[in-house]
Amino acid sequence: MSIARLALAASCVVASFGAAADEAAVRRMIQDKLRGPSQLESVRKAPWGALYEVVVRGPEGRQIYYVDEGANVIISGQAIDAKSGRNLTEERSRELNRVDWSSLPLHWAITSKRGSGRRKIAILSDPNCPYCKRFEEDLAKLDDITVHILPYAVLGPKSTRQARAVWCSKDRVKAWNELMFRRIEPPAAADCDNPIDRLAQFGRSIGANSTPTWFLESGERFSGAMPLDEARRLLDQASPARRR
Amino acid sequence: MLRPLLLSLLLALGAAPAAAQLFGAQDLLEPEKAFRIAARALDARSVEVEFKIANGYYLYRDRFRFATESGQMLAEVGVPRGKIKEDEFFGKSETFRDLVKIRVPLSPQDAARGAVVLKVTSQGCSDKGVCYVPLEQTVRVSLPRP
Repeated sequence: MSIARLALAASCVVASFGAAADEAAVRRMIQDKLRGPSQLESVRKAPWGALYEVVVRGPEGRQIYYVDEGANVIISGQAIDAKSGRNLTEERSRELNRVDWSSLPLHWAITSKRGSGRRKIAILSDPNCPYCKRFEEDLAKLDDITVHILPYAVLGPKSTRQARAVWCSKDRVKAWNELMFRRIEPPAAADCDNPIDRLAQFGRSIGANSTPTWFLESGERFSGAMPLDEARRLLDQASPARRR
Repeated sequence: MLRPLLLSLLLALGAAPAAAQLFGAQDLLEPEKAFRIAARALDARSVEVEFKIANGYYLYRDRFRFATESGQMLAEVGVPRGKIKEDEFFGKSETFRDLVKIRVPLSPQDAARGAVVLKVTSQGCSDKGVCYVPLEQTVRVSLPRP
């Protein structure tokens, strides 16, 4: 059986005919096709195969397309490495959506550390999001990890009240975990100076429209309660090697 | 024929954001596409708002909010009973999948204008492991004369 190096699961649309085969032509062709608020962000040779990679930035995020060398065809889809099965488009997209870890407002986080704390994760989490609970329960099984919970109270007024009360508690880690894992309401009054509204603003400013949204030390950004095995693999990849 | 198709393709995809940021779920829908809203007049004083919910997504019954354009909340909205979801942790909640139709009665003042703009807030999740922040959508409905 012959295996192509690269499989493209994609839909193609023929755009125009006979354009010159260079980056500028790709750029012009895409510029010409874009409408609305979307903007062309970058054009470069794809690191694999004879295609150009085009990044378009829409109102809420980036989208990757591929264009043939003649600037005749726009391909919208996922590039999969046939040998390893890696989704090259997704990996590139993660790279593009990276944030600077040091720009995260971790001084507003509820932080717990286990073991060496070597693997770091920051999670925008709402106390009434069942998938946030599941994800945090899974992470609680890992050792050598630092978990920064950024209380992202976006699912309703109850979430806001609870998040404030947790922040105003004497032991924030305990109060958050009891609320998340055991549904024990935080005892404190929700009236101290707290960053809950500012965190909601922060989340909106980076387009976090779902929970959990989370970040690794590499700056990579993810959404959803990922299965623990996969999350562990990514945590290991993104963390500095274990020192002995 | 090709040109308009391409334009709509680029528009549709260019505006399809977070997909790129989502783990192994490039097909995770934007909330507007997961929860498609439509509305029609039932009679001179009431409107039916409908959500078509994509497969694998659900909306919470108690998170719907209806307001007129001016921000006036509409209280007497007839949200049907949902399917009871029993969560040993979060307790009972009612959810909708596939389709929900909601009857929204209008005040005589709103009805007298001949058309109404509704701001509808909904909140839901995907079985893929995320919950969306509440989504506000706007629908405009022309009303028949009484």
